[in-house]
Amino acid sequence: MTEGRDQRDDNQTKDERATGHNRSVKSGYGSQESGSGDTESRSPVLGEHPDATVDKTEHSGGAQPTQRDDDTHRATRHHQEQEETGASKVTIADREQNDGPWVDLGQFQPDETSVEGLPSGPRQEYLTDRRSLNPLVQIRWAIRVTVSALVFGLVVTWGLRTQGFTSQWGAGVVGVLLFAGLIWVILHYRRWVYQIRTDAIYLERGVVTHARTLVPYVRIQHVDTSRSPVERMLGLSTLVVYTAGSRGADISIPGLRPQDARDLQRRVKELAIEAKGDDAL
Amino acid sequence: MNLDYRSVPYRIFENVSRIAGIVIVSVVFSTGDGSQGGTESTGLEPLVLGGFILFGLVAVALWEMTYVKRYEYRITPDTFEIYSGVFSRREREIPFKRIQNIDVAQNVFQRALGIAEVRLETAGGGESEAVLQYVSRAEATRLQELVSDRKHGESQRDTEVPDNTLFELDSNELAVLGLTSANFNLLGLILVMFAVLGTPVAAEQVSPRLSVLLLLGPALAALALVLLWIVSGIQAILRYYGFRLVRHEGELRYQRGLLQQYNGTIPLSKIQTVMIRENFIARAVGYGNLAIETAGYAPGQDGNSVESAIPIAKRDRLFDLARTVESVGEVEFTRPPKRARLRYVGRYTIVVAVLVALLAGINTTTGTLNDWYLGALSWALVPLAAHLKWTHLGYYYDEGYVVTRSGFWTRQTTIVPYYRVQTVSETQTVFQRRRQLGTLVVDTASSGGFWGGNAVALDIDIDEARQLRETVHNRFQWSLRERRTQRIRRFEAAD
Repeated sequence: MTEGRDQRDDNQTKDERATGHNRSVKSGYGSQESGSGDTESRSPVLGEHPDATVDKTEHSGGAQPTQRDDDTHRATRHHQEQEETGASKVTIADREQNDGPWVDLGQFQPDETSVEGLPSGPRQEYLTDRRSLNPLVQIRWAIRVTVSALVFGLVVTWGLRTQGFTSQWGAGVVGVLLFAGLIWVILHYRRWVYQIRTDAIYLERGVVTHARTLVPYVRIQHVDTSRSPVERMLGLSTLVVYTAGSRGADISIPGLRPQDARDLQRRVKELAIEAKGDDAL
Repeated sequence: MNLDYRSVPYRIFENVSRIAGIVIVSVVFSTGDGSQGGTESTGLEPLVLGGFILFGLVAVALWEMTYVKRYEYRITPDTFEIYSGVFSRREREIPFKRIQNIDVAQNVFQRALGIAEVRLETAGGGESEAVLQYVSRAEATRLQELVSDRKHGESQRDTEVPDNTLFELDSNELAVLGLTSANFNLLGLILVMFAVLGTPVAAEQVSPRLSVLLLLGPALAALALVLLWIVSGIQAILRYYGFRLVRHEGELRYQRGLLQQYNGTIPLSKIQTVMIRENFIARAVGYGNLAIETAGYAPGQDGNSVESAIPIAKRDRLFDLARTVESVGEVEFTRPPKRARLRYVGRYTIVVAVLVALLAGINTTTGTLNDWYLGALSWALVPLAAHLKWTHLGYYYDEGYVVTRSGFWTRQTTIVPYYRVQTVSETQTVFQRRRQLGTLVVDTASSGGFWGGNAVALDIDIDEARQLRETVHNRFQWSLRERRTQRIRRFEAAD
């Protein structure tokens, strides 16, 4: 069942791209298509999305419904950092500057154009607000924490017994570890935020070490969803995004409902395809 | 085309020497009456052994002959194809466009035979994509030329510019290189070893004979240090003897080596980061080296260090040379806020405290270290250490590049062009949160080991780090668009 759905998405995508390409030819960008290769590989060379010129409502009909509504209230908890979502300054690229020395043109905006007449930027409906993970992921982490606390506790208990302590000490250690672990789980869940931004995936996570990461779509090599047995039991899924980077090259977003993960995978895939155009390496 | 026939004897020699090495080692380490080693036990055995050796030799010779015979490579307009394998065959096609480096290596024996090893590298995988063992020297050069021509496409061939020598190592620099390249990883190990073994505790607990080390300890440590210095100096001189860096169309070419001659390329279009590394000896005399990192596996890379593109040069010259590759402007580093220094004081104080606690622990269990509290005197070094760590930190960014610097023992300056950025993160540990500090990590697709490649701005103000994260990301997006625009313009211009 899932495969059928994916295929449908693919076909739809292809259609969109094909029509977009036709349109680009009509509106006179054909002159640039002197390179080699087929249609699919040439559109990235053109740089931007020809079909983004077209009225955006056309796509919202075809695209999957976004879950923005139920996510908005979830994200309000983090509204203090809402300004990080970016889109506030609007500057238009100065065409004269493109040839000359580099100039800071300000914030990258989805709707501005850098090349004459070529529209650019990702389609708005793929973007999301700041989202938290599904609360069920806490159970997954709690299981992991409990298991490691028990294993560690057993070793410690054994070690303490050889030193002449009673098992109660071991139990105490396990208790403390479990308590700390469960607090970590809750905090970890509260810290985790992800967002599909105009040009990058934004992640915020970490209890001991806070980390905020931007993963540009252009740099995405491939996107996976994976489900471990525990995740399947809980009805969760993990999205893994791979880049060619050297450290922390793969970024995973755990604790997504399977349909969310697939939806997110689709969005990221689309955005990554759109963003293509420069050699990653 | 096939491999050079002269590679057959060399390959046999290589294999046999390897096997002989194993046999010798096993004989040395066996007790002496092992079945393979004990030749004198009966009269028959030498004959049998000889037979085995002969059989082995013939087998190896046959194998190598077939291997060389069955190894074939072809050059098609777009790909480099290799058909190899004696029993299980493998056909490999490597598109020219994807080849990043083509390197030629020749050791003394290979030079005598006139053969060379050719390695092709792509961005993928952790090892060479193809290794031709071995072709004739002329063929190796021809392949190198051919690949670099094909890689850049026939269209750009007409814009041929004469090779431009960027750097040539003279004898003065070679001497400085020899004097300044001590391997400090080993040094640390030796010092720790002497520190641990030289203590009276170790002498008492492990073996009384070790107390000799306590007397000789400092002298031995000094001797080991000097020896290490000399050995690594000689190594460096042999490695970089006759170093020459040339710009050839879209790539840099270098050659180096006295015994093992090496000929490599660095594709300019694949450069991820440029690093300037100065260890504290070299820095004292104003020298350093420059490394260029490309994506994927880089040849000549041992463990976690990247091979130098310029083994040694004056600091200013290094920056000039870096600018021929990446046009970064005048770099003026911003240091982290002064409170970062306090953080290091705190950190090193903890280290000292742990050390003293350890000494105290040893004292209570063995009762030999009555003066354990004197360890606390080492705290006197803490402020200095913290200051030194802090002074060598720095970051800088301009329109096209982000540059970071860190490290006292080996100061590393990393230059990252925005269009090579993979991900940008900013992290903040518990300790950093206390002081409103954060770390900015700009990840690239460079191949460098754990510490190489990434630009890390350590312990900068957290607000600055956040802002910088967005700035780097935005400039990255802009640099992409700029490149894209340029490409389209090039297309238009070509029409």
